[in-house]
Formats: sequence, structure tokens, C-alpha cells
Amino acid sequence: MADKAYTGRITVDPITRIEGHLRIDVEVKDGVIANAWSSTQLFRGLELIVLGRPPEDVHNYVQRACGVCTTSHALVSIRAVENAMNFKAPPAAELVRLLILGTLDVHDHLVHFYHLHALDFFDMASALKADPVAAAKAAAQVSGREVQPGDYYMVQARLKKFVDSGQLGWLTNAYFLGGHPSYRLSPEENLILAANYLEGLRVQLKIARAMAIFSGKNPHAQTMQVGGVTCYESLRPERLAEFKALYDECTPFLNHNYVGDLTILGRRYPEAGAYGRTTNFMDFSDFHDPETGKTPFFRGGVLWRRDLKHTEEFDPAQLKEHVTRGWYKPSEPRHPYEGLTDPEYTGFDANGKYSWAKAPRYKGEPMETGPLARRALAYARGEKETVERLNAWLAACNLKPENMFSTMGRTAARMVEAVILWNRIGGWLDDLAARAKHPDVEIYKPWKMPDKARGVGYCAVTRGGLSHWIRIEGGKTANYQMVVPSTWNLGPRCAAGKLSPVEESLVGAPVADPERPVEILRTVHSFDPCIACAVHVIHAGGGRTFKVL
Amino acid sequence: MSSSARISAKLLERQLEGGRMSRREFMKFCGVVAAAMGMGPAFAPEVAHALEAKKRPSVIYMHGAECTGCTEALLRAVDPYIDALIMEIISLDYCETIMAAAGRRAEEALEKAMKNPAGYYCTIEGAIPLRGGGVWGQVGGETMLSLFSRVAGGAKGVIAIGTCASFGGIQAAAPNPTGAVGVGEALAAMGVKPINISGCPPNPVNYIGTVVHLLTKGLPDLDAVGRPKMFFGSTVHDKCPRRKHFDAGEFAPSFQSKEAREGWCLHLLGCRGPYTYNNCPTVQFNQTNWPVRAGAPCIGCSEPGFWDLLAPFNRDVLMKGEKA
Amino acid sequence: MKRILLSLAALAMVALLPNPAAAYEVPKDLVIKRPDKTPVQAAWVGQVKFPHGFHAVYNPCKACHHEESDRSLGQFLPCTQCHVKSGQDEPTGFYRAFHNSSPVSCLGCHKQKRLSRQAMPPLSCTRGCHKLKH
Repeated sequence: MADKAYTGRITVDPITRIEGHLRIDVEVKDGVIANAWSSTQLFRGLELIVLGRPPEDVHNYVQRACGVCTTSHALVSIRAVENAMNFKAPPAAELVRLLILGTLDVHDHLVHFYHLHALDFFDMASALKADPVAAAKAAAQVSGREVQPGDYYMVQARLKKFVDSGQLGWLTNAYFLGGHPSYRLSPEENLILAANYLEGLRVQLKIARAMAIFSGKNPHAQTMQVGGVTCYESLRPERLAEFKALYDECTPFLNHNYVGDLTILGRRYPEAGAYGRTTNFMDFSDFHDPETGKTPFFRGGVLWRRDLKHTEEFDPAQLKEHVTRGWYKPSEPRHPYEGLTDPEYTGFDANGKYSWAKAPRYKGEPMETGPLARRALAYARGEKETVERLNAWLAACNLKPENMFSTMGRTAARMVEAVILWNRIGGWLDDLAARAKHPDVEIYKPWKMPDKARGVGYCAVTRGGLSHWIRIEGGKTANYQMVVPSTWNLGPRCAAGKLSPVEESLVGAPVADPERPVEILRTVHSFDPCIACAVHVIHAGGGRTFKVL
Repeated sequence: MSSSARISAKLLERQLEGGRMSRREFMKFCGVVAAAMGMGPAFAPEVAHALEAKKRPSVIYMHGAECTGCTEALLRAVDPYIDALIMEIISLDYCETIMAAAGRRAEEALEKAMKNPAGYYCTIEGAIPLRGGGVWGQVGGETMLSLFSRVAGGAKGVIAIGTCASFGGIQAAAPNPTGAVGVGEALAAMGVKPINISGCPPNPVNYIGTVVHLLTKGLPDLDAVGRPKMFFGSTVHDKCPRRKHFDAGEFAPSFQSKEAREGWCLHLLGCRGPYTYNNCPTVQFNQTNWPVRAGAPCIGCSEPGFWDLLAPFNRDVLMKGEKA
Repeated sequence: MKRILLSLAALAMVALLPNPAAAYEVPKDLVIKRPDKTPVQAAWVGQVKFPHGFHAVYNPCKACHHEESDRSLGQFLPCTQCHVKSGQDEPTGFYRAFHNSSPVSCLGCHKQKRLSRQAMPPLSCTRGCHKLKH
């Protein structure tokens, strides 16, 4: 552990507790990060693989971009193809899709916070020193949900047996072992988080089971198709009741435990409400009315320079992807429909090329996307639930609205969004149940693949705004582009040298112990990186343009 | 009892046994596994004894060219739950998705686990990209090929989880830009012969059951492509509940048809069940569903090369000369 | 003179050696029928017209006649001689003889040929070996 403020370079590779393969480099001066580089480490080539295939098949392939944000790429692919065909799926099918996407986003947020992020903030070993009675009292106070001290006693006993075995498994070499100056929860608070970490594992599988009633299985849905969905059996009253029962079982954990834990963290780590800032935000609209396709429950847009007084609509024509600092042959920045670059690996060079990811820019600027972008947009527009819940959290933690633009704010926004979305799902289920009462409820409509067309699908998925762009020629996939949230957030610098959101967010963060730089993890994790999704390559091939993921 | 109280009560009951599953549940689990392994429920105590060893076996879990869907599938496991698996049955000494340490400390955890005097088992999720010496996939500055050679080469047993690790998977679909191959193919020269638990993703029961078999009875009987016969011995078609419709010649002609609504056979809509070895119809996913039950034709996701061999989906397999 | 005698002797030997092709009957087309005792499971399946001659050109006999030596004379045994038992769960029964993961079965071999890109033999249940009449 350093006894005076550190100056030097730190490389963290692999970044763990993310999806995929990521390397982060920072330059630290006097214990504060002065510069940062984000480098993705894997390239697979999905967009090359779908070329020439029937567009209606592509969703199967691109769904395998990611098993964490599973279903999202399949859904947005189907939307892109239906957009190209000018086709609208029946309302009951759209509702099934909303339920699948909604359960996905909530499941993903929950697992991310508890099982990928929370270990940056709470100390499992310290939970062993807690007083279970005091912990139960504190938990009830902050979450509004009664806790039996016996439950916490048992969690502690289980942890003790685990630690005493001497085999620490996935906790080996944890940063908090032996104490860490940046871990500041009390033993009781650590016990609360530890108990919720374990209960969260049980809750997530129930949310996934609920989704599987409509998706056929989780991970990797199979019931969503171009034209609608296939799941007639899922609309039976007993199946809808099964979903409702699981939904009701999971609700208390989301509304109480998850909310309470963010209050604990917001209070204990006020500095994390000050670092981790980015500048500009954008996201896409989603969860539209199944009949009209309008009035989205998540309203997208653009918010510049953290200004909560103004929002704008997103103009797709202003999106360009840069390859200057990525492992590609040189090319000027291009719109997704016109990408033309060859992959060329040249090794890590912080002053040159250093990542497989491309750098998307909107009107030339880096944009953060994801739950913070969406909640900030909603907050700026005065959307009631977001304003109430975010203000409640800010007040409980003695923070101000500008603190939402931070590592802790991003993490709290994820919680607020999960809770709001989860509570909305009940209504969609009721709507579907009412429609399902008709024995001939339509969930699939026939379609005709055009010979030549272009389409785009948008989605507000867990980590931000996702879009797929398809060009169809001869009835087959001629070009396929995936512009993914984690590329926006975790790509490299652009041609103008502007730092990507994660790189910008790291600058100004403290590093207490360069051997265990947990502050880097706290901030990087707050973006919920999903790197399998993030990597793009555009490959030149005889005038055809296609992007490779 | 309210649902939250029910969750609490279940947690408490579980933990009342000194921090493990209740004895009754544990024996029930062992019975299920014994039956799946073809041993008969009478062998449950034998399975239980092997699993209750003082020192939990070390497992190193590596991620290659993958989507993390297989890891997520394990999180859906019930009896044992994932927390029981990693706290009471095995010691998961390296797994980038959930491990606490990062960077150099994570690498040190890996090296320490590899030096375990009791040895370790290696599970690999994801394919290994070979083109260009493997630069298309790196971990900690080392290519996946090099890293996995070291880790798998020193393991007591290797399991390839998922179709990507078993056979190359999605990134190996034509034109396979990165030269991705399955673990068995990439590491054949080293003599590594993984057990392939294929599926996209696989049913967690198949992976956990294989781990238990390894720990209690050793290597299970494998089919011609390295999959345990106890899980991959029959086709989806063999055990499909819609079989009576297939036999009666009752095929749904379209997704919007009355016949589809009534749950007729999905063969004409592209069901690959007859060509696919897996236990989806009997074990189901998430304890509640599987594609055909939900009206979605099987795409053959546990078969080698299915992304090309069994495509295009949603229609009968192509005849010679037929175009997609 | 000696050389001519030797050549004649060699020729005679070659002529007298059993000629494998001439020793077997290689039927061109066969109809695979269900053994009498086997109950009908899928009524529409019917009999299978099997282009045996075509298969014999591209595959060694043992590829399908897997229990018999290539050196037998006369006729190979038809599949139904051994694979008689009814029931689809019967591991060496009539159904399994043709639908098996092993390449000695029709389905297993057809799958393997497609996977290795050697050929495109039929795989469809309703448009290949069996034809569903709509």
C-alpha cells in the first residue's frame, strides 16, 4: 500500500466483472488520474458472418453477440428487418417483445449491480465481524423491508464456513482483503450487501424464468421472429399466472433491497458522487405503445454538457464512427451505412492505435449512453417517476442533482431505472392477458421480403442505445452494421483526439492504492461494459461495405 | 405466507444446515444427478459422499471468443444453485465474470490456482481464434491460444462449455474471419481432450452433472464428438412431446396458422430436432420452457457447425441444389 | 520362351482370381420395407426407395454392411436381417438402423457428409428418404 500519493502508470488487464475482454491504462499524478486509455481485446467478425444470409435468419446469429444482454440484439435485428419491410407486428406480439426486453433490462441491471459491481464497494470478509441484529435493523431502516436477524446470522455463518475453509475461490486476491482505505462500509453494512448479493442470485434466476415463459429459454430467446412471436402456449392463463407469481416474488427485492443498498453506498462514498463525470448524453426511445408504435415509455434524445434544462431529439444522420485510434487501416470517419475499413493489428500504442473498438461520435462529440443518459433525459423533461426517485436518492445521500453525473450517480441511475421499469412490467402483462382472452389473438403476421431495401432498428437496452442497420439486396443481407452502447462508452479516442466517455470519466478520479486501484474499477464498472458487443471492424470488399463485430 | 417471507424462510431453511443446502435437498440433488448419470437413485449416497470431501476441487474457468451466455446459463441453475456450487461444491479459483480481483491480482490468482498441489479442473467457454497467431483474442497481453494451452495443458480434466468451446460456434460460422476453432481442435497437439458440453447455451444441468460425474465416477461415456452420452445420447426428436403430431403427419404450415396455435409439429417450419442431440424436451430450460414448447423450431444449437450445416432456419433443411 | 510361359502363367492366375465385382450382386434400386412384426409408428412414412447402386459407387460396402467382411461371396445381408426389433428406443432395432448418430446409419452418414462438405445427401424427414404427400 502506498504511503504517499502515487505518480506513474497503471495497467489493469484483464478488467474482471464485465462481459468480454477489456484493458484499461491510466496515468496517475500525485494520486489522481490524469489520463486514460480504454482498449478492447477481442474481435469475432459477426457482421461478416451474416452477409449473404436471409435477413429473417440474422437475428439468430447476432443474438450471440452477447449472452448477458441476451435477446437485445435479436430484437433489434428483427426491428431493422421489419423496418426495411415497412412491417408492423401484431400488438400482442409487440407486448411479448416488450416483456422480454423489459425483463432483460431489469435482470441485467440487477446482476450487474450485485454480482459485477458491488464487490468494488463492499467487503465480504468484513461482514464476518458484523452484529446481525444491528445489521437487520439498519437494513430495514434503509430499505423499508423487514429483515429477520436470524437470516443475517445464517448468511454470516455460511460466509464464515466458506472463509474458514481456506479456499477463497472467486474472492481470492480481492482488493478488500486485509483492509483497504477506499472501502468504508461498516461491518453491518457489509453484511447487508453480502446477504443481498446472495439473495440477488436467487432473484435473478426467477426473473430469467419469468422471461423464459415468453422467450422459450434464457439465455438466448428463440420465440421472437420477423413477423411476430411464436409462443401461443405462453398466452394460456396458467402461463400468464406463472409469470405474475414470479413477478410478485421478485418485486420486494427490487423495490426495497436494491433501493436501500444504493442509499448505503451513496452516503458512504460521497466522493464517488464527484468523480466519474462525462459531458454529453444520448439514448434511443423504446417501449412504444404496442398498437400505435408511439408514446415510448423510455423517451430518447440528446443532452449536452450536463445541462438539465435542455434536451434535443437524436438525428441519426449525425452519427459517424472513427477508426483513427483503432486497429484498422486509415480511413476518414464514416456513417454506419458507408463504413469502409480493414482490420490491421499493430499492437498497443497509447499515442497511436490501441483498441479493436471504433469510436462513435455524434456531431463530432463523444456521447455517454445508458441508464444515466436515459434518467438524465427523463429528469430534465420532468418525468414524474424519475424525478421523484432520483430526488429521493439524492436527498437520502445528501447530494445535489449535479452529483448524478458521476460514478455513483450512474450506479444510482441504474437502480432507479430498474425499479421504474420493473413496476411498469405488471401493466404490460395485464394488457397482454386481456388480449390473450381472445382465442384467436394474433401474434404473428405473414410478410414478404423485398428484393432491395434498407432498414434500421433501435433499442434502449441495458447499457444504452443500440442500433442495427441492414441493407437488403436480392432478398439477402448485403450489409449489416451494429452500433452498440459499449462502443459509444468504451471505445478509444477519435480523429480529433477526444476521449471516449469512460476515458474522460477516469480523469480526476483518485487512486489510493496503485496495487489495488479499486477506484478505477468503480468507475469503469459503472458503465457496465459489454465488450463482446462493443467491438467493430469495417472490412473493405469490392465496393460493398460491411461492419464486422 | 407472503412471498418475501417465503423467500426468507427458504433461505433460512437452507442455511440452517450449517451453511449448506438442507440435507434432504442435497440428497435429492444427488439422487437426480445419480439418475441422470444412469446410476439409479440408490447411488445417491455415493454421489453425496464424493461431493462432501473436505477440500473442494479447484476449477479454473477461462473465457475465449464468447458471449458469456454459458456463464449466464450457469447462473440459472437450480439444485444446486450457483451460490451452492461455488461456495460448497467446488472452489471457483478463476473466473473473470464474477471474480473480485482484477488486473495483476487476477493473473496472480490464476497462477496460484495452477500451482495447486491437488490439481485443478479447467472449464473453457468460447472458441480460440487462431488466425494471425491468435492476436484477435488476448487476455492480459497473452493470446488466448497461448494462455489456454498453459491452463488446459496442466489440468486434471478439461470441460468445453458451450458450442463455441466445443466446436467453434458462432465466430466459426462462414467465413470464420478469425480462424476460430473449438478447444479440442486448438489444443489437440497438446493431447488435451475436453469433454464437450455443447448447446448455445447448454442446459446448466448438463454442465453441473458432468462436473459431478467427473468428481465421483471419473470420465463419463462420450459420443463421437466428445459429448457425455448421458445428456446427449438421444435427439430432441426422440423425446419431443409433439411427436404424436409428427407421427400423425400433423405439421404446422406457418407460424400464423391454426395448426401452429394448436401446437402441431414444427418440422415444416424448420425444426432441427431430428438431427440434434440434446435433452431439452425432458430437462427444459429455466425449469419451465424450451423452444418447441414455446412454438419455436429447434435450430440444432448443440450440433457441430450448425450455423452453416442446419441453416437457413425456419424452413425445412435444404435439398441438394436448393438455394437459401 | 521362359518369359512367355511366365507371362501366360501370370495372366492365368489373374483370370482365375475371384473378381470381387463379379462375385456380388449389387442391386441398383431397393425398397426398404418394414419387417412384418414392426408396428407402424408414423403412417405417412411408408416404404423407402433406396438407390443402392448409387451408394455402392461412392462408398465401400463395409460403410453400411458394417458387420460383414468385404471378402464374402454372394449377397450381403440386408439391414432388416439383423435390425428387426420394433420400437424407436430399441438401440439396434429397425428404426435405429437408419436413424442413428453413427455413420453406418443413413442419417448419421448424411449428416457427416454435409458437415464435411463432401456432399449434400437428403436430411429432410418429409422431402428426402420419406416423402410426405400434402
